Amino acid sequence: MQYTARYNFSRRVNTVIQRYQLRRRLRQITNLLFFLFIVWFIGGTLTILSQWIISPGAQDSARDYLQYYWIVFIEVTSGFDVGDEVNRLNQLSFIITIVMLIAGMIIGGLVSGQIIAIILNAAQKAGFVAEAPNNFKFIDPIIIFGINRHLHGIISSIRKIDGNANRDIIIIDEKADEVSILSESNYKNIWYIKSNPLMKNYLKEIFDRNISPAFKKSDINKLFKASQKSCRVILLPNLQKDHNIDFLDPETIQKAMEIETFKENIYTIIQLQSAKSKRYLKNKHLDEWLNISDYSTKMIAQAALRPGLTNVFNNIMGGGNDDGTNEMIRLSLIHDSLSNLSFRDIKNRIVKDSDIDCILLGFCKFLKEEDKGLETLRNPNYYFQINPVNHHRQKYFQDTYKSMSVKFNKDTILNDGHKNDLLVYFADKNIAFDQYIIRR
Amino acid sequence: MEKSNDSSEINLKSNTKLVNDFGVDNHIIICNWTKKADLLVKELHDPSVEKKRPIIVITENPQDIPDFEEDDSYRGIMIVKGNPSNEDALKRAGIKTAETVIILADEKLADVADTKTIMTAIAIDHITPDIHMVAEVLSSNNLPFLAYTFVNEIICLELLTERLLAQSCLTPGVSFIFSDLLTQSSDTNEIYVEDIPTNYIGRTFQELRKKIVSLEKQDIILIGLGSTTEKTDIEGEVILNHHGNPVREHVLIINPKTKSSGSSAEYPYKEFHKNYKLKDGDKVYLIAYNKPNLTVELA
Repeated sequence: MQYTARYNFSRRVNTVIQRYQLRRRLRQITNLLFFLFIVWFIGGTLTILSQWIISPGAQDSARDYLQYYWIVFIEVTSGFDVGDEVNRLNQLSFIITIVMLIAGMIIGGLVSGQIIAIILNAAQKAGFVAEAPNNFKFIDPIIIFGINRHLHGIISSIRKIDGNANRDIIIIDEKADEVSILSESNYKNIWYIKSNPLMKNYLKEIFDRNISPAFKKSDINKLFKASQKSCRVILLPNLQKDHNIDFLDPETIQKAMEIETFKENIYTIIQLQSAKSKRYLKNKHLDEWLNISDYSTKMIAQAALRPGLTNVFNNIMGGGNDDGTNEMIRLSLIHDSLSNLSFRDIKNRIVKDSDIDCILLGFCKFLKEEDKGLETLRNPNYYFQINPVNHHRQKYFQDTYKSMSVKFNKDTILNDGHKNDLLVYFADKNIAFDQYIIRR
Repeated sequence: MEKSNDSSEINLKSNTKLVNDFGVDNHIIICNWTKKADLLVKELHDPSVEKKRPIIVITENPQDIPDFEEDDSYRGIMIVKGNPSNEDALKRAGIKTAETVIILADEKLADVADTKTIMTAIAIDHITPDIHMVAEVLSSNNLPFLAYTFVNEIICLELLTERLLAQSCLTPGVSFIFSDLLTQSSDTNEIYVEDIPTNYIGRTFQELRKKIVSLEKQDIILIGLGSTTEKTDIEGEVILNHHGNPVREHVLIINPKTKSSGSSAEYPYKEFHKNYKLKDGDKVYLIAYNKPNLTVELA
């Protein structure tokens, strides 16, 4: 994710301010200074009035009375009297002076307390992620809604796949302020927003306040142009031991629906505990769900049937290098020079180009209204076709197995009348097929 | 149908047999019966699997295994009642003649499930260290302990969750692709590991790739290669064993690069590029709808 220099600067300033909670401390100190000003003004005025009324001969001119403001200022700010001047005060002025001295000690103590609080807070908060600034609009952040034991692993996986810590990650939860920093490099640009589920529309407020409406700049929108998605939200279930396991999936789905109700352009990914919960997702327009138990079981079966596959999956799932050059499944839009060609033609051309280091796996087809069918689960505007088969085999699969996984074939024309189709490939970095021009 | 929890030698299910000694070999042993075992059995016995192997389940709770009389997947499943970390139970399940053993994390034990998995792996190592062993681990904190065993493949639920969620977030739709690759069925893709066809030994990876792409009637994607190489240390020096011979290690290269580009400077496997000449004993990794027969296809 690339941000502008202005955004980066503003974010850096906000990181320092938020980490030490400087805004809140400054507000508290301002309040104290205002209180100090009031005390000083009232104290000084009362001293002048008492001296002028009770001891009219104490000062030579009216202008000399103004020095009492200075005397009171010294008393209030330092908590010390000003020596001989005190001896010239009448009894009432002396009482006022004593009150001012006490006020000075209290205010002095409070200000010193605030400074100590800033230092202590800095020391305490140094180990925790910073709070998201109130009015800072994050551009295309990844939002993790909920906290469970996988949070830190997800953060380090995102950083590992990205290869840097530039992308903003926002954690929203009731206990989000307790998220500790496990590694300085991975936890850069991670923010928390403490949620309050008792407040009506709390999520809407958070999204309105902190998420930039300029979602056309988002990474996901650059790829899935027809989807118009702003940012991505991962919804994590509460895996606390005291939490009833039967309620995990309903709660997660409910959280996702809360988001869907106020903002349709958010890409939602949910972690489910049971495959049975999938049926509740119909027509919910959630973009992706993951039932890890199914994935792990299938991976165990694959590893048992074909020894060595765990290593392959480990590699392509981001378990390889730490430098962001993992061999992974990636997506790219297609340049005009490859448009209106069949997948077979594109594949033949790319294989022959020795400068391109990728393995083409298939394509992601933008679905026109008439193509959508009944697949209302997952991103309904797109269909992933992996390893497209030839026309005869497609028909065989559809007739024999009622197959839903061969909607398109090798001869499907990509970018047919639009520019929304994507290529799916293995590579260690994104390949700009949208700028790729065929060598004639 | 007789049912008893006390005996270990009673036919529990119509489709399954409770056994103590049975003349099967090249079978798969599943240690512990958990919620996910049902899907596991169905995947292992999917009609698309060419060579279905008998399955023997070692469990302390055989009553948990469903009685699917009509389900073909459950045909030929045998049960040994006992603790899989107990060597006697493993021997009764014919561990010495088995092809693969799968250790499922015993969910009932919660935090100590991984301990039981490690104990089972150690017990298996003691009997037959050469068996292909697949272990499910719940917490990544316990992975280092498995390094002391001969487990061949480890599936860590925690790491899988975190990686999949991160990938889905950064590459939308990727969960669907992984689902396709992991599901064992006739109309989905799987990853296959195959030997190099004899007529391609000595030819380059790129030549093989081009040939596979040109196959009209087949839908196969060549994604990488597996080979062995001399193990080197951080400074690039070859590591020698106590006999003074180089230590060899297996390598997996997904998407070999052109010779000039390669990966980062420290990348140790630069010899495995697109123009690497395939040799006898190397493997190729393929994505296909069913097990490809490269020798026939590329003849």
